[in-house]
Amino acid sequence: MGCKRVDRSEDSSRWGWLRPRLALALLLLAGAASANDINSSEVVVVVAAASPLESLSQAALSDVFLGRTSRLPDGRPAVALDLREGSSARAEFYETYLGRSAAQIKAHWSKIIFTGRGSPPREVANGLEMRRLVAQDPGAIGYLELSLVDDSVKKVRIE
Amino acid sequence: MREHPQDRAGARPPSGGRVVAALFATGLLAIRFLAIGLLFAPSASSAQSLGPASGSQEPGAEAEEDGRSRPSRYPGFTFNGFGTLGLTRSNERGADFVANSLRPQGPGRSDEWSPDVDSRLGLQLSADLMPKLTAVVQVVVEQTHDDDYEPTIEWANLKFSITEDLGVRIGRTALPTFLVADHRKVGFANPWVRPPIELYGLVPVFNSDGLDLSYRHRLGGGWGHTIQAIAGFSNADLPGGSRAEIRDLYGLFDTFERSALTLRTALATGRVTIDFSQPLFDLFRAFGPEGVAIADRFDVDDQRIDFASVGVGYDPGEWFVTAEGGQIRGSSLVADRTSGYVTGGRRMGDLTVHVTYSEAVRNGSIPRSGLTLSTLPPELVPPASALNAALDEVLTSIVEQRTVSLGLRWDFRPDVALKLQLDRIEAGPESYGPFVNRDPGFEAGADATLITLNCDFVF
Repeated sequence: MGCKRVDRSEDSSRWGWLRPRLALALLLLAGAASANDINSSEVVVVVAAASPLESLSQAALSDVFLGRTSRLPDGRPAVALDLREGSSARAEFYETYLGRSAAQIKAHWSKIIFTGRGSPPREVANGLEMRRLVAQDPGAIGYLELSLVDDSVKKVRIE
Repeated sequence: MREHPQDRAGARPPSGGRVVAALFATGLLAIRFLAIGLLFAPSASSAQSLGPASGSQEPGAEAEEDGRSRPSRYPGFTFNGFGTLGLTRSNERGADFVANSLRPQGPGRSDEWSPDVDSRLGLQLSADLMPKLTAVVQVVVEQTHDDDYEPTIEWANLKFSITEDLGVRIGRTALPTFLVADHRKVGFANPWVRPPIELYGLVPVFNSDGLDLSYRHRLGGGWGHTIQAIAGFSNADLPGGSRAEIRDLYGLFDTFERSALTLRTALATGRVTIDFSQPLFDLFRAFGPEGVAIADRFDVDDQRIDFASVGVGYDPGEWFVTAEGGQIRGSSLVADRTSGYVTGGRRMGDLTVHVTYSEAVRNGSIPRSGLTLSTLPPELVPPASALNAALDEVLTSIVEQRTVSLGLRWDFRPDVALKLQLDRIEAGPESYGPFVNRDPGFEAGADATLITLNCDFVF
C-alpha cells in the first residue's frame, strides 16, 4: 500500500498508517452505538461472551421470549431468561424489542399456562443474577441495562 | 390416530371408548399424584406471578441451583389461578340471556343483573413428576347446568414430552375447537368479556377425555407450525336434567404462526347423542311412517356430527384483528349451522377498545314440519298437534342470531383487568336466539342490549 513513511516504533511502523482511519472508524462506531443505545433505551440483549451469536432478528427474539420456539433460527438451543415482573428493565425490554406492554405479555402467558402448553421464561432476581446466568450458559438469552454489561457477556444486535 | 382403533362393527356401547377410558383413568391418577404431592410438599411454590419454571424446555441450562428456577428436584409444583367477577344486565325482561346451551339461567327475566354469565374461578396445579413427565389439574368453579357452583374438573392429564417438540397427553384435555377455545374461560387472556357466543356456543363442549398428541416445528421463513390430534369422548350435562354425549370424538388442529400472524384450522368429528329430544321423537315414531321420517330427520341419537373452523389473528401490538368462522354439519338437521365473527381492537397504553360483529345462521332454512293432522283419526289429533307444537318449539330454539359488541378493557394492574362491554343481540326471525326461560308470550326474533362489567385476574 506504500504507506511506510515514518518509523516511530516497532508497532506503529507497521500499523501507524491505520491510526487515523481507526480513529475515524471508532468515532463512527461510537456514534452508531450511541444512536443505538438511544433507540433501545439502554436495555440490551445479551448472551454469553463465548456464544457465537452476533445478531438476531426481532422476530426470532420474539419467538424465543414468547415461548414459540426453544431454538434459534440456526437450530441451536435458546433459553430465555427474564427479570422479575415489575422491574423497569423488563418493561423496557418488552416495549422496545417486542412492542408489547407488561399486561400484554401477562395475557400472552396466561393463554399458554392455562392450556398446559408451556411456562414463561425463568425469572431471575436482578441484573447481576441475569449477567451471571447468561455468562455461564451458551444457550441463554437475556437482557441487561447497558451499565451492567461487562466482558462476561456480549451484546446481541437486534435487527 | 393409530393407537386408538375405531370401534369394530357392532361393538356399540362404549365403542372406541374402552381404550380411551383406560387411558383416561390413568390421567385421573394425576389428580392423586398431585393431591399426595401437595400434602407432602407444603413448601410447594405458590408461584408468584405466572410461575417460576422456565420456557418449557427441559434440557440445557437447568443445572442452576438457585431459588426460583425450574425444578432441579422432582416433583416440582406450580400453582396458578384465574378468575372473573362479572355482572351482566339485560334489558329484555321477558326471558333470560344465556351465553351457551349449558347454562340454565341468566340476566333478564330471572334477575335484571346477574353474576352468572362470566363469573368463575379456575385453579391449576401442575407437577413436574419426572424430567419428561408433567401432570396438570385444572378445576373451574362457575355456574353449572343446574345453577349450582359446583367445582368441575376442566382438565386433568399427564403429559409425556417425547422430545422438546413432541408431546402426548393422556386424560382430560381442553378441546381446541377455536382460536381461543382452550383459554376461553381465562377472561384475562382475551379482549372481550367472553368469546363471541355465536361461534363459541356452536360447540359447547370444552374438553375431551382421551389422548392428545401435539407436535411443534419450524417451517421456513419464520413460520412455526403446531399440529395437534385428539381422540376421545366427552359428556355434558344440560339444563333440565338431560345429557349430551359425544363418542368417537376425533380432531385435528393446525396452528401456523409467524410473528404477529396466527392462522388456525380445526377439524373434528364425533357421534352425538342428546337424550332430551328422544322421548319426543319416540312419540313421533308411534305415529307410523310419517312420524318415523320426522324423528329420523331431527333426532340427535348417535348422529355423526362434523365440525370445521378457520381462524386468523393479526396482533402487532398496538392494534389487532381476529376473524373466525366455523360450521357444524350433521345428519340431524338440528346440527346444521354456520357462525363467524370479526373483531378489531386498538391498544392505547393500559386501555384497549374493540368492536365485534358476530353471527350464527342455519345452513339453509329448516322446513317447518309435523304430522299431517287431517289424515289422523279424530282422537289422535290433539296429541299429534301437541307433538307438532313441541317440535316447533325445539326448532325455534335452534340458535340463529347476531351481535354487535363494543368493549373497553383497562389493564389497571399487570394481573388485573377491568372490562366494560355493550352487546346488541338480535335473534333470527324464526329463532329464540340466546333467550331461555321465556315468558309464555315470548316470540322469536327478539332483541336485547346487554351491559357487562367484569374484573378479570390471574395469579
